[in-house]
Amino acid sequence: MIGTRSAADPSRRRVTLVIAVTILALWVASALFGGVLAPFSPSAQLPRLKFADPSAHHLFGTDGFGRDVFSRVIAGARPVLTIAPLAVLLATVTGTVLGLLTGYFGGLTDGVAMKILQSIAILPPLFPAVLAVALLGRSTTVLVVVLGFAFMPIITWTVRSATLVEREKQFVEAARLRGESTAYILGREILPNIAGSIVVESTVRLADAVFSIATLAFIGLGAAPGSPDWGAQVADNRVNLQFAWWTVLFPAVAVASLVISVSLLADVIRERRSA
Amino acid sequence: MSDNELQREWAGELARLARSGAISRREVLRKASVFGLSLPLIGAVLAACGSDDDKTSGSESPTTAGGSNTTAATQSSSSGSATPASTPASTPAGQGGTLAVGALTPSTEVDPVIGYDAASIAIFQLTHEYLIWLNPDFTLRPQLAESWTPEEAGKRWVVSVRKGVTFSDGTPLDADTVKASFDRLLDPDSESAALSAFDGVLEAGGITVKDPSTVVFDLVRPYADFPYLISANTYNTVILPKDYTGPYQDHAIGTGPFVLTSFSATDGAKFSRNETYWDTGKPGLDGVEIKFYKDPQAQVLGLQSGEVDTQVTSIISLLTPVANNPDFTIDQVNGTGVNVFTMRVDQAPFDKKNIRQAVATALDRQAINDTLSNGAAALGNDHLLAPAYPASPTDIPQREIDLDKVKELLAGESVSFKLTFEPPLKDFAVVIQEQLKQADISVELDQRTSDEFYAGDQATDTPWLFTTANLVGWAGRAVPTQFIIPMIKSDGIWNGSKYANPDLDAAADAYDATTDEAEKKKQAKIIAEAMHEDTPVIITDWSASVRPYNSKKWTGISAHPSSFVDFNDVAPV
Amino acid sequence: MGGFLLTLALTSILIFALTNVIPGDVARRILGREASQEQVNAKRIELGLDRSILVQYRSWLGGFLRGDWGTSYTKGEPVRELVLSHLGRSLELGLIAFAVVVPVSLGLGLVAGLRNGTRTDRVITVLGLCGTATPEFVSGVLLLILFSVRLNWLPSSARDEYGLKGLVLPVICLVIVCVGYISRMVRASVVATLERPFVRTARLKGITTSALVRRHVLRNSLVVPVTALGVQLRYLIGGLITVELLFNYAGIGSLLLGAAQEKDLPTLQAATMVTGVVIMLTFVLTDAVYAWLDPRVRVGETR
Repeated sequence: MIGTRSAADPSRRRVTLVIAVTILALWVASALFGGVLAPFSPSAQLPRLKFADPSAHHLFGTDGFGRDVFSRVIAGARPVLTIAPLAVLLATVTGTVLGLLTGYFGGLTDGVAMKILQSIAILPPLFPAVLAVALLGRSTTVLVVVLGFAFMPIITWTVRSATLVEREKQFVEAARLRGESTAYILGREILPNIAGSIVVESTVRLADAVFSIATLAFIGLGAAPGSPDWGAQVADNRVNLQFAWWTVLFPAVAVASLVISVSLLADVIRERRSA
Repeated sequence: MSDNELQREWAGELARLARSGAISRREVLRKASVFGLSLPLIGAVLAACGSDDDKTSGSESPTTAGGSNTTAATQSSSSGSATPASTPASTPAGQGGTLAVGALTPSTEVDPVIGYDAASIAIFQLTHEYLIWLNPDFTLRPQLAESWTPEEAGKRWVVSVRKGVTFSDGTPLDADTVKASFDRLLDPDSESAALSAFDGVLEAGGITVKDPSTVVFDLVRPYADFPYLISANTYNTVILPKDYTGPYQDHAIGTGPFVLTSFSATDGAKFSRNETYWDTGKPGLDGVEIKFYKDPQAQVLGLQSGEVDTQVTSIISLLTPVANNPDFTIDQVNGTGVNVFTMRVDQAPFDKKNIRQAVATALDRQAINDTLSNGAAALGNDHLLAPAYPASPTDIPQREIDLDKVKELLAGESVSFKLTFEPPLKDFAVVIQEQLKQADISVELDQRTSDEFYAGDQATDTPWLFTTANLVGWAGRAVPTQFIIPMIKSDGIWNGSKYANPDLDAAADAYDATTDEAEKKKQAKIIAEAMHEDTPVIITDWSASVRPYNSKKWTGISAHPSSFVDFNDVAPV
Repeated sequence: MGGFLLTLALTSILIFALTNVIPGDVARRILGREASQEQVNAKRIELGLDRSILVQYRSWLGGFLRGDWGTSYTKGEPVRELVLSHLGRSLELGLIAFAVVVPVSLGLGLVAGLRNGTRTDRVITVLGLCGTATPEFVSGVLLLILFSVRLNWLPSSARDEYGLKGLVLPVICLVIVCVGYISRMVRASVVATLERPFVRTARLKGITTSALVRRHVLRNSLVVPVTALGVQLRYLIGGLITVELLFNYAGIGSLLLGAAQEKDLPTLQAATMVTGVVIMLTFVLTDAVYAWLDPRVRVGETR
């Protein structure tokens, strides 16, 4: 009854990796080449063809405006895969810098910074996002900044913890004795060693970001009017689920599949490092 | 009360016009209700008409509910005695049932004096009443006013207050109370938007009490359509107790068919039947429950799941699942609500007429109708004389999509502009953008929050009146000049296009000043043709108002062009 | 704690500044677009919006600390009752969800861990993964249509009058995401514990599986959901906004959202402050629980 095979089993891991990468690649391709891959323009309306069932001509059917759902789902990849990576990038860069500095120097600045970051970290990322977008309006900049800001503390914490460990190591001491500048020590000695954990953490945040962006679009805060954001598609077609299920199901599966694939990727990277 | 000299004169006009076929029987009834003619006089006018097809005018509502309203209008649009509007079989107490109604959460406090969103209005329309009610076909029905009589060519109106009416706390209704209600609205310090509705027609001090049941309105200028202004058409004119101060939920004392029993700003309101209601036998319902929903989709889901039986406001394009459900009926009535696409004629690229005409000709109005209104709306022809108005011209050729003509009008010029709007008109904006793309006209969507859209100074920079191109939604008005004067006259307070045409100004003034139907038609035609030709605004369609309801459980629910609620005739199936 | 209060104070200033800088006019919203400019200007003065921002802020802060949270611009009701009643509902929802998540994720994680490698384990793991990846609005919409519209078993909105029946769907919605995540963590912890040397020794000694589970595995894995929940709590609270919107539940999340959209400053400020304090308290609480569990775990380990 108690098995000894764990999920970290190499063959299992490989399968998971393949699935995750495939799904992710599909969405990235959609984001980059959506214009070419989509059979129709995501905004082209055919009012005579409202709520058409999925068919060979319209793989995912049409919505209430007669728009091709398949094309809209493909087009919806771009906004998400633009904002999410940018937000995570912002969080990673600022978080890494802050984490390195506080972890290395410690002392008062570290204490104060940690206190402040801690209080930001326990906020659900959605709250400041909702407030910011409701007050400042929906724009790529606002979303990137607010989500980046919400994810930064966790990355800072991770980097800081790792830096604390690295700081005590001999090669760091050696570099210091050699008279290397702080920037060198942080950038060339410590950073490469902790890069792995940063990558893992960032990937997890990426899944988080996709989740949050879709939710914001659903609430009505994230998406531009007419934009094929997946969350907005689900929100707009809620009432049609019973008789036009394709207008809701496909965008919903799109969100879930992207989040799953990124999470799986993070899982695999993490397991590979700890193996 | 018998008709005075003036009324008999106007009745004669009506009869003459009807005989010559210039106006239909329906229009006769409507005008008669406005003039406050007595029942016998109306009968005489109709007899003079001869038989005429009721269904010629566009304001007919296609279902039985609309039909019953017509008969009610015939009976009661006059200055008869205190007979109730109709005598249905009264439902025994306890068997009337409670009607559950879905409404969108009001974004402001519910207040009869300043409230302006449909849910707030529906709430206080259940507990309070007007002097005159507005029927879905735009005829007027006496409510707290028994009759009204014009004098001095329509510069003075004498209103007879219904006798024997009491507020729900026992206070009797008298002329002083009516005067107090209107004084409250006309006070220059008043916060009510009704002040702007009376602008130029009635001012503070213009109301006097002749005797405990007669109120006299002395106007600034003769206005034949004045009864509309003191009717539900101006939704803040509910009659409140003399000493009313508010807030509404604590002081909901009214003369209406229901009494407020509980209120929550987040959940909704509950009402029970007013046992001392003046219209004996009504309402049949034991009570009403209004439930708030945060957004239109949730509202429809509530309807589908049976949580509510009907709605205050509805968006047609969301009702497809309900339309397919045999348990539900969707009552529909043509309205004069409209979404106006305004272009600033004093700014590029719209300072040239051919560009404006090009944009107008590039739109596929039928497709807009199909997509956004499931085909239920009436097509618009870029002027403010809706098909539902009796005086509207019917012979101006309908502008239709013609991409060749567009190219011709553009003459090689490339046009692009920013379209500004608030979230409720998002779908309309998206459709416009897509359609204009087909004509190589590029539109940038500029969605603002509702707050931002209406903020700023109304005289200098508020987005809804000053952006180059914008979309603004308007609730229906009973009289076309209520749109035309503020929106398109050169000095209009809500003139977003900055259109200034002295001929049109003169025609609008002339329209209001005359009671002669033929003259009204003539002036309306001048206005319509000017607007159609100069195209300061694009009007693609006139909204249909719909109200879905569970017809397996209830009868007597009908749609209303202004989304008003009148549940007096609702009964379980 | 001090840092947190500082953040709260800064946030209140930020919100104040933003709502005043952003175009949008509360007075216009209250009176409607057809009111005249004079009427709107008079209303602004009545609301005290013509005073300088500093004066307004100081006035608000003084009142807030005294317990006078003002009146909602848009609902006209006293803010304190509004915020506290909404908070109460969210707490109710959150606590019920929490009470469901702990046993369910513990149970699923245990089963998956004990049956490590079997199909049961794989099914639970995959379902768990799907659960974490499914945003609340997706599961919510599906649940709504199935149980409310199609089957008519449950109401489509969670109003006070429906009581617990109305809370079933929102709770399931919130729970799906958390259970997915925590059960996977419990499973990992169980698997890790089972591979420990002392477990093998115990088996060799002949201790039955159930005794093993009771004495060692359970204790080790009990810690996990609680601490993980501390992290998940942020997501639970964040999920409240969506779930409350979807199911029309008058909780603090939807109050916040509405107040931000309506520029109802007094309500927005109070709701943000209160939410911040509650989140901070949950953080402190989970820290305390972890500390309480910690020494017991250590004792178990040395055996």
